[in-house]
Amino acid sequence: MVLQTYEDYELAVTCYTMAHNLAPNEFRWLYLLGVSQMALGKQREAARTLRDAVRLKPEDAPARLKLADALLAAGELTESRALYETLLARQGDLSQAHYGLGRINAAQRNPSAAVEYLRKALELFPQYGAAHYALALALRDLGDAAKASEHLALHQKFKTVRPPLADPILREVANLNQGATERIRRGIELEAAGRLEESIAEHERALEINPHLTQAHINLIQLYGRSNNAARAEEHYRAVVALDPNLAESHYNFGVMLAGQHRQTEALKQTELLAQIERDLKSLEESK
Amino acid sequence: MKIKRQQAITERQKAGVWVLSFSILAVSLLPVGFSQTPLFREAAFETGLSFHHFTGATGDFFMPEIMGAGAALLDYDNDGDLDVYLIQGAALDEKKKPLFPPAKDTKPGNRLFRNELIPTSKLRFTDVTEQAGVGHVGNGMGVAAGDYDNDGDLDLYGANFGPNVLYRNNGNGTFTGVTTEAGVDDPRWSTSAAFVDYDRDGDLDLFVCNYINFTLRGNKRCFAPTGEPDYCSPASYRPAPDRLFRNEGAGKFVDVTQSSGIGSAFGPGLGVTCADFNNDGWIDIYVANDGAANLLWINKGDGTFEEMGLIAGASYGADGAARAGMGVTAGDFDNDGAEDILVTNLTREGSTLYRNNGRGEFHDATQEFDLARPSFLSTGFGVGWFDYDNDGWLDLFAANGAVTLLPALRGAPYPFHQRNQLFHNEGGKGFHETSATAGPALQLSEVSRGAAFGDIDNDGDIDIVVANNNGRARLLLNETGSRSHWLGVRLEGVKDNRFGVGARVAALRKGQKPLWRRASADGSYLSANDVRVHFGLGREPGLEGVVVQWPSGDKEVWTNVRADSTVTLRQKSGKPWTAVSASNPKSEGK
Repeated sequence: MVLQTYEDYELAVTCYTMAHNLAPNEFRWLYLLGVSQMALGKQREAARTLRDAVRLKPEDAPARLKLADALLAAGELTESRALYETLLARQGDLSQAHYGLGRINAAQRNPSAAVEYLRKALELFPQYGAAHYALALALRDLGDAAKASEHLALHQKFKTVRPPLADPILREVANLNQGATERIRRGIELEAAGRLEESIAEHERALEINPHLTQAHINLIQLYGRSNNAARAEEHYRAVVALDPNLAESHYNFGVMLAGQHRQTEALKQTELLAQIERDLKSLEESK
Repeated sequence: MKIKRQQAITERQKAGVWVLSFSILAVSLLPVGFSQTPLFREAAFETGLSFHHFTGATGDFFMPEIMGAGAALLDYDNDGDLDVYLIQGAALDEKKKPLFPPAKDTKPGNRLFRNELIPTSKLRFTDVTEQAGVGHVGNGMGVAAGDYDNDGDLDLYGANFGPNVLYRNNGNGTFTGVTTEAGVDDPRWSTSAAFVDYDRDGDLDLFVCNYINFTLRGNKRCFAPTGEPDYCSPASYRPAPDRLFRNEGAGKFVDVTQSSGIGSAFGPGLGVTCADFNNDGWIDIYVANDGAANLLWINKGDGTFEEMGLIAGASYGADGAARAGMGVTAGDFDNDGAEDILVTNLTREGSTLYRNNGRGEFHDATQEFDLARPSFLSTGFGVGWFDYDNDGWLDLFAANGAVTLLPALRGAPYPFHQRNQLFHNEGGKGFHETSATAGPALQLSEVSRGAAFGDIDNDGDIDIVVANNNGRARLLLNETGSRSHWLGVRLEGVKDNRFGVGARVAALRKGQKPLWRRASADGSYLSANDVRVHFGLGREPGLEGVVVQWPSGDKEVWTNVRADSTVTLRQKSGKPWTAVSASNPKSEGK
């Protein structure tokens, strides 16, 4: 699980295979093996593994969904369709299953059916970025460019947002990751989902682990700026400047935040610092 | 032979099980499935193509170290064989000792190797950099080749981390640096570039991809998931806008990035290819961006472009997620007359195949054509559609190598190497990876970047030059394609640009659909391909003629073309052609 959370999937697969051999009736090893195989692009092997996992625990929705996803990625559309439909028969509000059926119909050049499923997925979870994209292309194929453009705009807005799915086993794996980088990654995901406070918390945790992470400070200038917390943003700005005074981004972000706070003189100061860096860079380039 | 085999079996039988097991083990240690003649043979060293790329890495993980470099295949001296131009890196922080210093006799800067095949009949390269005057010293990235001054020889544009360079070919084996006079410099981090006649005025304009606003002083510290220092992703920096220069004639260009609309959208640009994707007669531009939406610039025919990648379905994967686009190639892989796009991406993303429906609308067909799984674990860079076995269907080669630490190589001195890949087109129904049976050249595991495609030994099949990061350049000679029929076409524009760049060329075959290809040197990653058009014609060529649709819109047909040769087709020397005549080209022009 530690290997998986640190993205060393090849070794994770080896370990899960051994664990499964030792405890063949333990659901979690098969499930995690299948998920790791998916991460390695081995969708057919993953499908085989996940089928076995589902046999051990037929009621597990995340495992069934992962199996259907693996089959879709492997191009096994008939079996994937059947699984998504089974999932919907049990849980009609599972937007991921509607999305999967939309993707299958799109792949089978049936845009009308795809549109129906994708609209349903979005009805259940309006911020589903991937569903907006798939729906836009299906509408385009039906000749409705205007509607397609609307959904492309929504896709741009909610690009990485996905419907939540309670998956205690994968949550356990994610929680094993104590790396600062992972904290920042989670923070960025949370920011994309509009969960600013949680995003700030993840970034702050990243800095507890490694206070020299410039990127975490830069992100926090933005996040505190958007949360109207100028004092905290300023703290992180000062930390960035102490770490690296030549990072144009930090002056830019801080300047934007100050301007937003109507602190024009201070904002102007940041712009001047930014301009100075740009001038230095230009003269450096010219002197090359 | 039969007697020897029988004897061998008898001896094994005598020796018993242990010997039999041993022989199985011995066999299993050999690469599986090599045929007697490999599909490709690595021949850089034996032909004198001696080049080792220097990254300048010092342990600071400066991003430019890991991204270069490219290669160009061009006949700079017009003697009928392809010469090789290779791009070199340099120290980024000269105060520090490089981790991988160059050999003592290594000359800095880009190198030009002249092919001595003509007139010696022997494939042999001579380093002519100094006499040609093209040894730019800098942090080299990419190269474009094109005859921007329409004087009948190919010029070179070098894209660098830092100022770029335009070399005008003087036509006597030498070049002159004319960057400033021509007005095509760009001091930012440029990567791939392409010559393209976007305004159909008969001269080549220039598109330059820019990557990110990286500076040494602004270098950020990034880490692998496990906490080790590693190269950053481009998301750590702001992207730099690409640039379009319009050729004004008389050796001058003007920057039209803003007025053409090209400046209205940008990402971290790494690859570029130009083709008429929506089939309206105007050349469009496709840019592969690293970690951001790829851009499809549709040419509106009035000197401006509109970015249509999203609605065209060519910006993201089927799941709506941006990939780390590196290299790109455009070509009609399914022989339906429309140009499709393949973009190479990062490890655990896989390449993306965008299939064109002929109206400039694409579907992600990666899974459908069996490319998802085999490309999934590779970080692809240089890439090209090319018909390696001359069967009439475009195959695929991808040059691979990671940009961040590969966990399985942890502890290795340069833990980024991966194998390159070759895919055979199964008659437009899917792709089958043939790397394992292609010979030892495809078993090399290196950090490959640029790949340039062309018939280097003039034997009728397409060879590849691979530019490796922190490694030797490789020459992959095709050993199989010349068993089938082929046709090479060199265009000579009169009204259009001199090398016919952007022209669509069709081989008309008896009882079969025409094969459509485009004359271009762009695509791949940081590299320039042979500008001549190559057709594989299979076992029975049945060649009835060749059609050329020039960039200006003129269409001509030539019926006196023979297979298994390279022909030069001069504009206005053919007969007028209309599409109706495809079934009977000989009736045209009467």
